[in-house]
Parts: sequence; C-alpha cells; structure tokens
Amino acid sequence: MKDVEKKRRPDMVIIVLIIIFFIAFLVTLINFAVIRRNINNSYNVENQTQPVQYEKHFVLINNNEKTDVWNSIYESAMIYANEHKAYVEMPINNFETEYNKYELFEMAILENVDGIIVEGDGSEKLRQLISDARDKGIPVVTIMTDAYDSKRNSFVGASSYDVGRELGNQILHTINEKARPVNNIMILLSTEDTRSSQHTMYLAIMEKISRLFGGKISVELVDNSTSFSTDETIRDIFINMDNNADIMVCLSDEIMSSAYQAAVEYNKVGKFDIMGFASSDDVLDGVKRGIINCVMTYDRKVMGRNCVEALLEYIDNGYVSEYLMVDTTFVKGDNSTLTDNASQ
Amino acid sequence: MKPGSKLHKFRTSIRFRLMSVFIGIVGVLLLINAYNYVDTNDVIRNINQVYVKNFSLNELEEQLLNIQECMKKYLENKNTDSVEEYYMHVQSYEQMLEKLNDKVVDDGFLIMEKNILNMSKEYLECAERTVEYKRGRNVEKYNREFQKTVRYEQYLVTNIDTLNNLRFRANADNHKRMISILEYSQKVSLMILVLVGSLTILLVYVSTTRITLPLRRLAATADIVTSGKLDIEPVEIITEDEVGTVTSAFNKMLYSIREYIQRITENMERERAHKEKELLMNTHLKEAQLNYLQAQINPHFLFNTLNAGAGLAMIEGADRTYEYIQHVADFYRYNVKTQKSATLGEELELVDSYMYIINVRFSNDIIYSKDIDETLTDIIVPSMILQPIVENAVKHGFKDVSWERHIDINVCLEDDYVCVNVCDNGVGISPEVINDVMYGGRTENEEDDFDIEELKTNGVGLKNVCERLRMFYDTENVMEITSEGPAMGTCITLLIPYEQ
Repeated sequence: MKDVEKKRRPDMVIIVLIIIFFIAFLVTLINFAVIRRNINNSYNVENQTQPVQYEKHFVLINNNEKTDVWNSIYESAMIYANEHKAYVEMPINNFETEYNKYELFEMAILENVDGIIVEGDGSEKLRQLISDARDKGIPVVTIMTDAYDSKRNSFVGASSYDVGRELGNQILHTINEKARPVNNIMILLSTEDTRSSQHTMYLAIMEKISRLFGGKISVELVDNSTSFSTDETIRDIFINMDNNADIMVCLSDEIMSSAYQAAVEYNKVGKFDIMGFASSDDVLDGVKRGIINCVMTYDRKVMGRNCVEALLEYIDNGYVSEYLMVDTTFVKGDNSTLTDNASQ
Repeated sequence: MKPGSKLHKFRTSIRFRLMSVFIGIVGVLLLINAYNYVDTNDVIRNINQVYVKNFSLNELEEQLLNIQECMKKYLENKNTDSVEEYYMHVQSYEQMLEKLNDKVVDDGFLIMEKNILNMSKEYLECAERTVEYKRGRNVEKYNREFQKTVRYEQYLVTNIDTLNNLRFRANADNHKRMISILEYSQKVSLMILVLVGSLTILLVYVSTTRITLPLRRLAATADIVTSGKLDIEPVEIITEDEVGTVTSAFNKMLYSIREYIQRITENMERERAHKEKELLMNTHLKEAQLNYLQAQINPHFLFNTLNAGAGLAMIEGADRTYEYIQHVADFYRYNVKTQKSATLGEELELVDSYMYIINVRFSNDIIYSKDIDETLTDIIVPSMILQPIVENAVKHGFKDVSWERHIDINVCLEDDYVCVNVCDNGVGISPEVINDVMYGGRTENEEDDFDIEELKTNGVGLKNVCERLRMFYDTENVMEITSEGPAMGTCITLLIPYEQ
C-alpha cells in the first residue's frame, strides 16, 4: 500500500487569531489600568504631590478687601515666606461668610498662628486685639496703615504724611502747568478712615497747598461702610457736582477706581484732572489711558516681602525695626515705563 | 515528547484541541471579567471614599454643637446629666480632632484643618473654664467665658462649614470626573467585550472548521467510495488525532478492498476460461458424436438389428458371420456410449473390432498387430481417440497402396507418459497436413489435397482427437505425428500423462 505522507500544517489562521485575541486582551488590561489610574489620580488629586511643610504660619488680614493690590501683596509675601520656610494665609480668600478685620484677627489669635500681618487703623478694637495677640506671644505687623499706640511690632507701608505732602506738591505743579486757571480742588476721603491714613494725607495736602492756592478746596466724604457704597457715593458726587472742580484728588484705591469709571461714564474725561494715592491695576490702567492724570503708588511686592521679613526678624531676634518704609513713585500718563514697573 | 507516546496522543487528540480552544477562550473572558470586577469595585470604593472627609466634618460640627448645647443646658440648670453628656461629647470631639492636620503645609484645606484644630483647643479650654466657673458659681466669669464660647463656636462652625463646602466642591469635581471616567470605562469595556466576543466566535469557527476538516474530507471520500468508485486517491492525513487514525485505517481498508476485488476478478476470469474450455470440449465431443450419428443412421436400431442378426447366425451355425456381426455390434455399441472417457483397454478393443470389420470387408488385406503393456490398459483416456487414428490410416494411409499393408499398435510407458503408437506403412502425411493437425495451420489447397471433407463425414478426424486430448489433459504435448516421407508410412504417437 502506498504510504500517505503525514503532514502537520501550521494553522496560521488560528495563530494569527490567537495573537489578535491576546492583543485585544492586553489592550483591555491596559485600558482598565489607565482608567483605574485616572480614577485614582482624580481621587487623590489633592494628594498627588506631597504638600510642602513649613515651620511658620502667618496670617495676612486686611479690611475685608479682595483687591488686586492685596492679592499682589499676598503673593509677594507668600513667595518670600516660602523661601524662608513659612506659610502665609489670607483668610479673607477662604471664608464664604464675610468677617470683618477684627473677627479675622481674633480667629488668628485663636488659631495660635506664628505671626499676624494686619492692615492697621486707629481703632481701639484693633489695639486691644494686637495687645491680646502679643500677650499670647504672637508678633503683629501692620501694613499699609499703622495702628497708632498699639503694641504692633512693626509697620510696613508708606508714610501718609509724606504721601500727602508729595501729593500737595503734585497738585501745585499741576496748577502751575495748566493753561486755564484752577479755582476748585475736590478731595475725596473715605468715611471709615477719616482718623487714620487718609486723614493724615488730607492734612499734609492741605498743609502744602493751602498757603499757595487761593481757590476753593472742598472735601467730599465717601461712604465706604458697605461693599457698593463707595461707587454709589462717587456717582452721586458726579451727578450733583456743579462742574467747577478743576482737580479731583482721591486718597484710596476704591475712590480712585470709582471716580475713574464715573468720569468715563458721565463723559467728564478731560474736564478736570484726577490724581491721588492708589496702586490698583484699574487705576494704573486709567493712568495708562490718560483718564487719570497722575497717581502716587508704591511697590506692592516690596510691601508684602517686608511684612514677612519683619515677622521673621522679630521671631529670630526678638526685635525688629518699628517702621519699614516703602518707597513711593509718581506715575503719569506720559511715563508708561514707570506705570509698568509699578503694576508689577 | 515522543510521537506515539500517551502524552503525545493526548496532546494531538481532538478532545485536547477542543478543550484547549474552549478553556483558553473561557479563561480569557473570565480574566477580563475578573479584572473588570476588581477594578469596578475599586472605583466604587474610591467614589465612596470621596465624601468621607465631608462626613467627618459634619460629625465634627455636630459634636461641636452638642458640646455647646450641653454646656448651655448645664449653665442654665446645672444638670448633672448635661455635664456628663458635655464631657462625653468633648471626648468624642477630641478624638475627632486627632484626625485633623496639625502641620503648616501649603495646602489650603490642611491649613484650615490646622486652624480648626487650634481654635477647637482654645474653644474647649474656654468651655472648660466656663464649666469650672459655673461650678464655682462665679457668675460674672462664666457669663463672660460663655459669651466667648458662643463667639468661638460661631468661628468654628464657619470654618468647618467653609472647609466642608470647599472640600465638597473639590470632591464633587472629583466625583464628576470619576463618573465620566466610569462612563467612558463602560463604553470601552462594552466595545472590548464586543470585539473579544466577535473574535471568540471567529476563533471557535476557525478552530472547529480546522478540527473537522479532515473528518469532512474523509466523509466526502467515503461518499465517493459508497457510490462504487474505488479507484480514488487515498485521503490525505492532516492531523495525528483520532481522525488521522480513522483516515489511515480507511486508506488501508480501501486498498484491501481494491486488492480483494482484483483477486476475485482474476479467479473469476480463470474459472470462466476453465468453464469455457470444458464447454468447448463437450462441444467437440458432441460434435464428434453428432457427426458419427449422422453418419451411422440410427446406430441403436442398427446395433439391435445387428444383435438379432448375430443371434440368427449363431442359431444357424454360421460362426464367422456370427463373429463378424458381433464385432460390428460391439463397434456400434461403443459408439453409442455417451461417456466422455473410457479405459485404454476399451479403446483398444474398439480398434480390434474395427480392424476385424475392415479385414472382413477388405479380405484380410491389412495386417494388424498389437504390442500392449497390459498394466497400462486401465488408464483412463478420452473415448474415441484410437479408432479415428486407425480409421485415418485405413482410409487415407492405404489409399492407392499396392504393397502389403500393416498397422501396428504399441502401448508402452516412457518416462511419465503412456505412449500409444499407431503406425502404418501407407503413403504417409505431408508436413503441412501434420502442421495443420497439430497447430491448425492449413491452407485451402492443402485442405483439398487431404480431403478433409471426407474426414469430417466418415471419421472423427485426427484434429478432433488432438484437441480433445489437449483439453482433457490440459497440455499441448499430447500427440506426435511422424512421417518420414511419401510412401514411408505414418506413425502417430499419443502421449498420455501417466498417474500412479
């Protein structure tokens, strides 16, 4: 019998199918693994990076303002603090319930933080709280505005008196430069701050210009007791003003910002000069656009850094300079370079 | 692994291959499902974990409110139960506080936890002082401290709520992301399952087709064989499994059937030839008998008549007549017999009778002599083989012969043959006639010369004798005719195989 040769054919189709099958299986596993990792990442998003631990915990408290000025100050303070193993918290950014400065200060004392940076004022309440903090061994630095007669360790900011005098000089300079005569100067002050920095500035301005300016100097108090009152008051002033103000002097960011917006809306741009003391981005933008004639501002980065520096110095050495002055700069519409530097 | 070993057989079996395919597929599907199950469980656990911190903060706030409530009750009526409850809640609250972060880290949530922890400590100290002053009935102090606790509690609640809200927002985002990932996962899983399912079906189809392919080929070949077509190529053996074994057996069986059928065909062919030969022999005998009967009109009647004549001659005392008639009767009796065979002795007796008749007819003209080995007279030979030879000698050999005529018969044993020699001293036979008688190679002219027609009508004929002997003994070498030339006589020798 003729032998039939036995053949063993490699089942290529089956082999290919099995390979595809296992590739599909691997893709499934990889897919599941990726999904699982994504889910885990989502869940642990806050724990993905191990939080950096610091030695000191400082708190920055202001007048319940979430302005870009304070944000800049906070950021620079945080950067400097982080470099020195410290952490700065700005509670105003966290709470949904609005607490005033004094309540936030009291909370900071209860939290037993390592240092408090607070926007000072002349109130008795703040003085008491600063005293309580110091009693608990918490150093306090006031910023922007000082808390007179308090136990604060140091003050970081511009001298309101010096700022007022410089502003007075600038007003006089403007009067002299203007082609038409200046008969009326309007100075806008916040109601809630009349006893502290703005008041000091006002006094310094008056001291500087009253002897040399023969025109009318009027003072308008701007209600800043609530969130929107400043803007509303400014608008009222613009509506009711009798068009005889030649120079409008604003002594806070809030007032300056509202005045600038009102001037645009009520078509008063160019009809009178706006100037004052402020450092917000809005105001600097107004200067850039030529709506605000000039503004006196300060370096926010230096201010934030100085606060932390003062606290650390006190903690390390047990003493610190009582005043850490921040340089001020005049920004005018024609010197954009200066404007840019200040906004940074 | 050695081919032919048990393990090898098992591994090449259909069962093993089918089991491998199905177990493989089921295994892969099970693995995918198991992985999916574990993964989904993990995801669900993670999703559940998302809000755990929110639950903790809620409990913390609840305990805080309980503490404040119990303290207030105690201050109101100095209730012992309230103070016990107060301490119990304080204890729980402190335990919960242990879980909060106490380090300064750059994480807003954790910083808030630290703040809550420190504020809570202050609050608990203040509350403790309040309770102490209440025990000491220092109204002014416990009033002042209680006011503080109220304020602190509000701070704490605000902080806890804020943290809770912030965490909830972050967790809601996580939750939303997880749900979207889960939805994506479901879609992808479904797609992969469909893909794997399709591949599985395809794999099963291809595998089963591959496994059953040899079986289907075998079945198709079996169908062809069933229809009667055996001359086909052997089925190719693809696998070494059970089907391979069956295919091999089928091929062997097919080969065996073909060989068997060929053998049967050959046997049938041989048998058919044999029967044909026998039939031919019978035909020749019948032909001889027929020729004889045609020549001798009603031999039975003639035989009976002769017997009656012999009886009459004996009664009348005519002995020679009686003998003559007796020989004639014997001669015809022998011819009437229907047996195919006879003994050599009977054949010789027939020749004797014939020669007697001839000699009576031709006045003892022919001298007839015999030299017989009597031991050989019993051998069986075809009937009617000697008389035609002698008759041929009388009719043709002595035609126109003027000299003394002799016919000699000699029976002897030479080698394994019984030789029966019938010799005459007649005219002899030409080689052509001898060739024709022995091998059937005559021409028409030769036939005329030899007067075959006469042979056919009056005698059985040498050729007939020769062919019958060949058929009977199944051998060619049965007769030799020698004639040395014209008028030199003829000697015909029958070679009968001798069997002891």
